[in-house]
Amino acid sequence: MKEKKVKEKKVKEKKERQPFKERFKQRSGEFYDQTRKNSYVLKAMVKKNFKAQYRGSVLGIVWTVLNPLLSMLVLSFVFSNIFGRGIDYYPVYILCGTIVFNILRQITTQSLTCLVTNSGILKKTKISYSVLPMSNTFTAIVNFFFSFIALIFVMLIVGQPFYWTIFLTIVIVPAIVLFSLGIGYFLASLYTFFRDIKHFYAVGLTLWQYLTPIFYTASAIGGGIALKIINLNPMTVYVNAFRDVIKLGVVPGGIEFLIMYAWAFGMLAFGYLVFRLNRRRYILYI
Amino acid sequence: MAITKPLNKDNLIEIENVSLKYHQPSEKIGSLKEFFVRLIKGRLRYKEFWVLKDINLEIKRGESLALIGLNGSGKTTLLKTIAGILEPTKGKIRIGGSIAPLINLGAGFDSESSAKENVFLNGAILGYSKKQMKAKYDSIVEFSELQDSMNIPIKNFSSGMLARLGFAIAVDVEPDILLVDEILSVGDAPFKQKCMKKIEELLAKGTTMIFVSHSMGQVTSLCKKTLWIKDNQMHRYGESKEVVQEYLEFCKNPAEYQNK
Repeated sequence: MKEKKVKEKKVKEKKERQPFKERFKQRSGEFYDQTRKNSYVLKAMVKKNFKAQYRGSVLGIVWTVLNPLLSMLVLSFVFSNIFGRGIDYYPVYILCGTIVFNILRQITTQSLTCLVTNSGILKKTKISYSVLPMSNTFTAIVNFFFSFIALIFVMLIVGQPFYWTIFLTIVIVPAIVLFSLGIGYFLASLYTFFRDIKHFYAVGLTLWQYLTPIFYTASAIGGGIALKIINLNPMTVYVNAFRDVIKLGVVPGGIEFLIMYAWAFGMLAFGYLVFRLNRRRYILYI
Repeated sequence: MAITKPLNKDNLIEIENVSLKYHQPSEKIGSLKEFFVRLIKGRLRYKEFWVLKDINLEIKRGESLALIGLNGSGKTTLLKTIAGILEPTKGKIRIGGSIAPLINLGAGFDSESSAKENVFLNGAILGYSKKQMKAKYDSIVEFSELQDSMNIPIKNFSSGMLARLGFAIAVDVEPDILLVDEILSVGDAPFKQKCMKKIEELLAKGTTMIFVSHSMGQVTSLCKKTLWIKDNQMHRYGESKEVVQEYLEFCKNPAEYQNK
């Protein structure tokens, strides 16, 4: 009796294993279909996000350029006599910092709430959850392009010299984006269960911004715990590297690249893992 | 969740021993602090309830099925499970085709976006590129009769208008499986008739439909088979006329029926 059962089991296993090639074909076909579908959704969502940003405003898309310019003006107006003295082309210095930090800010704050704000869609159709933080990422990249245009304008106006290393932004920005996306995944996951995170994060982000040398140089801090944190802060590495290639024409060293990408992939892996592990539970909480 | 194809080639949908458990805190805990306070106090109790219990179904290609039952009996939940929005706690669902879900009066829409943008967004969700949707756009607008409202954000739409738009998109993409949840109940009479005609057309073409409705007339005229879900379980499954008749009897006097 027992033998028979074992035999049956074996036969069953064989049956399932046999059409491996077909199964592989089917699986890869499904994967292709899924990816194609996700890319359509991604495009539509990016468009939606982008339009939603300045919906109803008169200037609309112009704000994407105006926004970083105005915040730069505010900061340079307030701080040029305090921190700006020793820094050449201070407006460029500030703008480099703000647009890099804005990538993080946009991706993370939008991703934080994305599962909840899109609950209408998630509850009624089947789409891949991971597409949502990704769509915020692409929206942030588009915004970065516009900010970059603003940066070039400012560089021309203040007479900041251009270096070939400006092209290295293509290598630096992806690291910042992946790092932010990792945090975005993590926060999106957490927010569905604990809505307080939104308020915690708003405060945390302000603190993080002040502990990143955006309108000051780390050397101006002098010392103490704050300086230690500033030096450990991954955003400091990103902002500095970005400034090096734009303002100074300096190629960041190998170790810096290593740090940047270690943070990027590490954070992405961590965030995505948390996001993925909880994926079955989101639908009950949104 | 990987979609697995049905074992039997004649079947389009196979639902095997599907159960779904909701695992929710008895009071929603919305904050971290509250969570820890309760954890320490040992009051982190979860209310568990089965919203679907042991559902077994096989639906053949081109067959249409109606789901009937009282509010809260699990009809929409079953539709959501078939659509892949909810994952069954136990059991398996195998599906051999594309699905267009119309759940709670509408497909996946973004309320801030205009109707036009939503056509493309919903199309993308259903697996169609912008180009493909552009080709379908005119006929969708024509069917929904919303020509004048396509640039209005759909948060300003009435439920009837939403249903129109959702239905128009779903039937235009001609899915293998159409999930229709009470969508016809909010439309006005002319639109209802138009929808019924369209559904009959699709059924003739070989679309499979799963249809949730409280209108027994629609159920018997559109669907051969009916599943009556009662208390989250399969109660009766069979020819529409018979099941509907019994259901109507039950509705007259639910208390008495239970004593039987």
